[in-house]
Parts: sequence; C-alpha cells; structure tokens
Amino acid sequence: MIIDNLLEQFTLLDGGMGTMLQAAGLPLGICPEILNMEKPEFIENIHRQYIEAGSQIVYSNTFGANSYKLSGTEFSPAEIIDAAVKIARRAAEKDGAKVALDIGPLGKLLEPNGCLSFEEAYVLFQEQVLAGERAGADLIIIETLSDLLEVKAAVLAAQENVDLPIFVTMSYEENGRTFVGCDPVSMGITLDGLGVTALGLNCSLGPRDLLPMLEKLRRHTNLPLIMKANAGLPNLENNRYDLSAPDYAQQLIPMIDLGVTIFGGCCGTTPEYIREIAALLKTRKPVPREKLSFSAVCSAGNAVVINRPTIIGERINPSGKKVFQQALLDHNIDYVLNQGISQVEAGAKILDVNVGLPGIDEAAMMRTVVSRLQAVVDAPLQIDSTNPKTLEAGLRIVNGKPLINSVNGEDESLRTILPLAKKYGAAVLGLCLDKNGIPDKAKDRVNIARKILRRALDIGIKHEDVYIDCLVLAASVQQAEVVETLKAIRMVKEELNLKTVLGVSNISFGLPNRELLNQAFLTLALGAGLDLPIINPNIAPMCDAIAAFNVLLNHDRNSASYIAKYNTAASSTKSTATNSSNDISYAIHHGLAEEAALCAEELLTKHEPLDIVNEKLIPALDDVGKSFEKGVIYLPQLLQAATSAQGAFAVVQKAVANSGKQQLTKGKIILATVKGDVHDIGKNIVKVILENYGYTIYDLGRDVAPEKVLSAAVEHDVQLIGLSALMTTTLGSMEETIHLVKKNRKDAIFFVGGAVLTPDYAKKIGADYYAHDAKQSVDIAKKVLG
Amino acid sequence: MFFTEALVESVKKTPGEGRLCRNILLEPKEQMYREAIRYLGYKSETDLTPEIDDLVRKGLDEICSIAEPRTIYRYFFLDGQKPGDFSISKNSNSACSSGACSISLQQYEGVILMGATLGGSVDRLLSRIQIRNISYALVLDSCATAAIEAICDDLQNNLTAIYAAQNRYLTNRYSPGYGDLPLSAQIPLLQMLDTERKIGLSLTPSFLLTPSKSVTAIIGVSTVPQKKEHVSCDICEMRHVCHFRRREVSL
Repeated sequence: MIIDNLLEQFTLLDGGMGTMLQAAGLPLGICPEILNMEKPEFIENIHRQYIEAGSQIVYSNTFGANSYKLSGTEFSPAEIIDAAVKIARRAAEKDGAKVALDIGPLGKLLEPNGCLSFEEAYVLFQEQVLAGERAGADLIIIETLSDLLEVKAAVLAAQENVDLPIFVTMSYEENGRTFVGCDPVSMGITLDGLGVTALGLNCSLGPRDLLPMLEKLRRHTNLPLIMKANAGLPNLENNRYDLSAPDYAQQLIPMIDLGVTIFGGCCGTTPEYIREIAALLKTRKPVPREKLSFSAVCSAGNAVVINRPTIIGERINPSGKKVFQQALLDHNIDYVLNQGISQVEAGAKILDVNVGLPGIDEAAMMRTVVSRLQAVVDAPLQIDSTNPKTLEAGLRIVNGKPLINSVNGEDESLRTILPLAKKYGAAVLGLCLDKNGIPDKAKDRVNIARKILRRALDIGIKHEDVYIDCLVLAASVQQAEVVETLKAIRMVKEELNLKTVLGVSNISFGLPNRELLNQAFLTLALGAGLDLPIINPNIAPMCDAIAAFNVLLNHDRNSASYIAKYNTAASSTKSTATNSSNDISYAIHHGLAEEAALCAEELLTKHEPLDIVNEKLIPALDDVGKSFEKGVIYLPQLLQAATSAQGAFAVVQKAVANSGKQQLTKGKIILATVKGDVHDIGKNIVKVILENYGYTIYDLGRDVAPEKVLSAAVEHDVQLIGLSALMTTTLGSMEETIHLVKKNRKDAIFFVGGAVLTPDYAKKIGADYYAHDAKQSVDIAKKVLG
Repeated sequence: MFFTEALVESVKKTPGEGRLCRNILLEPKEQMYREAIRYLGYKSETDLTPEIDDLVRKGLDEICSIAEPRTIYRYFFLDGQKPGDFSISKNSNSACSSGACSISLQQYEGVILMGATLGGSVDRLLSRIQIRNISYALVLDSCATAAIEAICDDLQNNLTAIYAAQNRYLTNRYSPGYGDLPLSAQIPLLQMLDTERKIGLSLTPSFLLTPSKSVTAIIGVSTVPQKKEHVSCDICEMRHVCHFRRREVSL
C-alpha cells in the first residue's frame, strides 16, 4: 500500500475539485457536495481525469459534507459521503488508486472565538469519519483548516473511531500564519505529537509563496510532508490563476529538495498540473531528511523550544491561597485568567494550570480554565493534577502541545499517566519519587528517573518529551539533601540527557528572608543544568537571577534582553504622583490604581475592612458616578476610577481572606451575556463597577444558555440576575432565560441592558429593571440588595 | 437564499483579493482618532483629559500595529430579465423602500458585495485587555471599530475611483442589521464572497460576524451620479436606542 512508504517514495495527490466544478459552470453559493447525488458520473469523470493524469490518491467530493454546512440541503452527511466515496472508488478501481475521505473546515468557529464547543466539533467530525470508513475510504484527509484546535477535534474523532491513516494540511496566509494565528511550527510540533500519518500545507498561495512556511514545518516534524498549493494567485483579468502547469511544477523543486514527498494541487490546478508534477517526479528521487530531535511545547501560535532556562509560572494553583480558592468556588474565571496574563507579562514562558480544590468539579473547571486561558495568552500550558480525569479533560481541549504535571515512579502512576501523554502528544514531567517517597540520595532519584524514561519509551513516547523533576526538600528540614537535588539534576542531564524541571521555592520553607534563599538556590540549580524552573515570575529576584544567568552562559546574545530590561536610566522616571494627603478618594477620582491600592493598605492599619469599603471606597465611587451622570466625565474615566477602586478593593479582600473571616459582600449577583451573543464588553464593564461596590459577582461569561443561568441561580442561591444582549437576534434568548428562571425561582429579579434594548422592550420580555448603563446597574443593585 | 438568483458575477475583482491591506492603518490616524473618541461618547476633543487622550492614541497605535486587515469584494451584474427577484429590502416592490437605510436595487445596474475584517488578533487582544484593564479595553474596542471603518472607507474610495473611470457611480454601503436589512442577510453575503476561505470571516448561529471587528456591506452601482444621501435616522430600527442618533429625530 502506498501509504506505508510515504518517506521513501513520492505520492501524487489530485488537483482542485472546486476549480473543475466552477469551470463546468457550478454557480456561486451552491453546495458542490449535492453533485454527488445529482450528477455522480460528472464527479466520477473528474476523478478519472486526475487518475489518468497520475494521481495515486483522489479526494472524495466531501469538503463541506458536515451537518452544519449541509443543513440547507435535503441530504445528511452520511448519505453524501457514502455516495461520494463510492463514486471515487469506482473511478479509482481500475488503476488501483486510493480514495481519501476529504474533510474541510466546519464553517463555524470554535469556542472561545466562536460558539461551537470542542465536543460539538468532535461529533460533527465523528459523523463524517464513520461514514467515510463505512463507504470504503482508504484514508482521511483533513484540509484547509486554519484552527489547530479544530484540527485536533478532527484528528481525535478519526483516531478514536476509525482505523485509517490521517493526512492533515492547513492553510497559511502570506504573513506565515493561518487566519486564526496558528503558525507552521506549532502545527508541526502538535500534529507530530498527536501522531498523524502525514502533514503539510494546502490552498491560499502558490508553491513559491508557501515555501517559507514549509521550511518552518520541516524543521519541526519528522513526519512525511504534503504540498498541495494553489496555482498561484487569481489573475484578475481573466478570473484564472496566474501560474501555468509547468511553472507550478518548477516551483515544487525546492520542496523536493527539502524532503517533501507528497504532492498535489489545490485551487486553480487541473489534471494538466498533475501531469506536469508526475513528469517532474519521474526525474527525481525523494531526498532523505535528517532526523530531528528537540524538546518543545507550544500553544497554537507560540512554540517554546527548551534550549535555555525557561520559566514555568506556578501561580495558577489554589493551594494555600484563600482568594484563589474563593475565586474557584465563585466560578470567577477572570481572576484565574488574570493570574495567567500577569505571569506572562512578568516573563513566564509556560503556565502551570492546577485547579484542584475540594468541593468543585475539577475536570470541568480544568476544561473551562484551559479553554478560556488559551484565548487570552500565547504561552503553552502545563496541565497539573493528581487526578487522571482532570488531566485528560485539560489535555483534550488544550490547543497545542502541553506538558503534563506529572507522573512518578509508582507503577499505578506510570500505568495511568503515560498513556495519556502518548495519546494526546504531550510532554510529560516525571517526579523522582515512588511508593517509598523521595529518596535521599541523588543516585536513587536518578534511578527512578531512569525507570520513568524506560516506561515512557516502551509505549512510544519520545525521549525528548520526558522531563524530570529531581524534587526540592526544605533546607530547614533536610539541609544535607539540598546538594543531592543539585547532584541529581547534573546526573539526569549527563546520564539520561533529559530536560529538568524544579519547583524552586520549597527550598526556603520555614526560614526567614525566603527570597534570598530562593534566588541563591535557583542560581545553583541553573548552574547544575536546570532547564525549567517552576517559580512565581512576579517576584523580581527570581527573574533577575535567570536574566543574569542567560548573560553569563551566553544565551542572551550581546546581553540584549538584559540591557533592555535593566537599562532603565534613560527611560522616564515615571512619577507615581504621590499626593501628600494620601487620599484614596483622590486616587480613585484620578484613576491612580497603584496609589489607590497603597492607600487601602495604609487604611487597613487603622480601620476595619468593612468601614474602608463603606466609608471610603463607595462614597468616592458615588462621586465619580454622579459626575458621569451629569456628563462631566465620560465612560473611560468612570472605568479608570473603577479600575483603581478594584485594586483597592482587592487589597481589602485579601486582608479579610488572610484573617480567615468571611469575604465582604453586599449581596450576590449573577451576570451573563445571553445565548448566541459573544460580545461581552458591556457586561464586563457592569461587572467591574458592581464589584467595586462590594457585590459578589458570579460571571457566567458569554453565550450562556438559559439552563446555565438557572442552575447558577440555584447553586449559589442568587436572586438578582443581570443579562446583556447586543443584537436583535439574541433578544429571544434573553426572554427565554427570564421565563425559564422565573418559572423555577419565583423571587428572581432581572435587570437587563445592551445596545438594542429599550425600557419598553425590557418590560415586555419580563425583566424587572432596564439598566441604561453601568451606573444604573449599581442603582438597581442598591435598591434590590441594599 | 433570497437574493442570489438575479446576480451574475462579473470578472471585476479587487487586486490582491483577500491579502493583507494594512497601508491605511499606517497613515496618520487623525480621522480614526476622531471616530474613536466619538464612539467613546465624547462630543469634542476638548472634553478629553490628557490621560484619556494618551490612552486613545496608544490604543490606535496598538490596534493598527496588530490588526491583520483583509478585504474582499465582488461585483455582480443585475440581470435585467428578472428585476423583481433581487431585493435586499423587506419591501421589495417599492422603488426605494421607506427610506435611505434600505435599498431596492432594481434601479441599479449592479451591486458590489464587500467584506472586511481586522482579523482574529484584535479579538484576542480585546479579550485579554478586558481582563486586565477594562477602561483601556473600552478604548481599544472603540479604536478597533474606528480602524475597521477606515479600512472600509478606504476600500470604498478605491472602488469609487475605479468605477468612476467607467462612468459608474456608487451608493453608500449598507450592512445587514441596519435599517431594514435583516441580519440574516449575512448568510448569502458570506457565501457569495466565500469569506471563510478568502478572508477568514465566518458567522455564529445568531448571525454575529467572527472575528468581531468585521463588516459586510452592499453597495449599489449606477449609471447615473448618486446624490450624497442624507441618511435619516427616522427610518432606522435602531432609532430608539442608538447613542449616535441625531438630536432632531422624533421618537
């Protein structure tokens, strides 16, 4: 079977299907898949032409054959796919060509960019691959996708449901990325990990313009490579593409030299192009590729190759953090995201994500946090849990190649965790401990590392994807063993050639001036060969140590990063405009966030937290609110004031949490942007303002189904609910939500707002209040909750 | 599909269809600045504090540097054989239904359908900043709206010049969701332009465009010069809630 030797011999795919259909007069806006039912012989003829030109694999005419795109037709995906694959089979039979089930993008964006959930996408793809296999497809080709997460849903749907080779090609624009920002490096790393059969590029540009992307892809995978480019760019004079068949074939030569072995054509290419490629390939031999080996993790748009000290941010973790724990209990995802963004801003390259807390559904929380987090940060993620179900929930939905934290030397752990790493193409972090705990001596720890490595290799995980944590013991307890950790790092590097990870700050537990010990130990560990310190990057001395290390080890060429970071003499000595009265009201009025937080800390030394909120924060906000109502200040200033009040409020809440008291709250409010609506800046503005006034907000996010609002109202026992909708098309969801909740909770009170709402309409759909702006939301909350 | 049958695609296409078109965003941004502060609710520049002024300028720079704007358009000749078939107005039989926000295109020789987007990078930035700093997020949101409008204006200016050379004249552009052109008109518009493949623009089930800072529109093409239309707010379905409504409108 030709699919077995993809690296050793050339494989020729087909050319454009849409091009052939349009040339035959298929009008715009018509589903080309219908032709499988209406004109099967016409489609068969196109396949025949390609096979006669030399195609060894033809794509079934099923690019858009999913439930969503076919919804306006009378056919199901299964019917179309069955017909299309059989047509292709008939055409292929005589020459022994293979038939690929062609799968294109679903046509809807996945969450959080769009409204389609990962599992919904999975189900749509599952329907296609099952139908394709039943109909006799030889392989699956997932093509022209631009979202790596959508690709992952399709790949998993194929791997978990059918036993067919999987080809994947994605479409890149001239800026080297797909429309949603995926780059070829991340594509290569991720799909190589997931274990597809072959991967490459198709559509959008001609071969020459795709060469830079192909080179990048080539440097990040050892898998067979596919090139199925357009026939150049559309020529505007004659509505055809500008690259002739011979020119197209010529442009493939550098790709052959790069080691590409699978060729075809996309938009604008015809059987003539396939003939030219076939002629070219007869004169050439596949070029052997150098085998690559490197350690890397990635998000969809950002790959981190581990070739110098790389910070893993440790802050997304509730253990020992009361405010964080409360945020998880309140489903306050923004708080968690904020921890992620601030760590990236401070220099974290990878983010550890741990949401383990008794009393919450950890797997569901992991899914939510990973999904939301990867929409706002580019850093690759480290999925951290002791619970395999939680790990899998995160691994499934993560976009890119993650790191798993963690497996250890116990058989049970190795048996459950390593297969997850293999299946989802993740790197895995191995802890040097087993059922007997952490060995004192370095050589015993290294033996556990060796065992973890061997077991990982046994199930097909790559050597470079195993990282080892030699573990830190507190110097206050086991001072003699500190050097054993350092020794173990050195041995793991030298004897096993693995990347090393270390949670550094445990070293100083129980001793004063922890930062000093942490920094000193970090420097020692880096010297011993530590690759991935797990730290809080917001603590400057830790990042400073790494910056210095990178200069001294010549990682930071010409000290460029170091100079940029520390040569601040020239940049403005930004005055933090401390005003003499140390007045929190002044700070809030003028939007001075840091100042307001400092004032709050100062006030806490003399006043009760609740008094600060009632007597300082709220009156200041009321003043600002009045100025806003009068038109003296505008919304941006109101929000600046709110943002600074937020900082002050956080300081007060933290003091309350640390004192072990109940959180301050003036009452509970649910906020949601209704089902179907994804514009939520208005709701977020209302949220910030209400939080300032001391209300506890359960923010359900955007595109929220009525049932979810109801269940949150019941679960958290909330009476006051605010809904926002921006479009006329989503007002129906608003009405539905109000009716559903009120039917089940008679005492529920709704306030609604959004660009298309009017007071009359609010009344008509059963809302109790209409809020014109954020300030009015506060007035309503005061009236209802006090 | 309610308006595609009478359309015959012409070969006139935009050069570099679907490619990045960042140029207009690299030019001086005074017009965008004025639009952005208008979206923020300011009546005049003098109402801005220096801090907000800085924030708007920073926001425009940030949006313009990360945006990946792409546009696409296609010209469609209106088949005179079946003039009644083509209408994007609910009142399809009136010459120019109830007012200026809707157009019945029978009087035109053809139409241009257009789509434009700032791309997903802007949405990502907006989501991130909303979590970190809501006031800056609001400013950025307005800046992004100003930027996509600038992209559309630039495209329309280019089209006007191209068509003027052939003695053809363009109307204003009309987008689904304004006047009485329903949001559901997004479906055929996106299909006819193949926006998903050409510029990465798609729809949610409730007809919202994703990426969010995107525009689709219809422009009429006529053989006679078009009056500069004064678009009255009276006929618009948004007149009761619109923050930018002209004051004289009777409600």
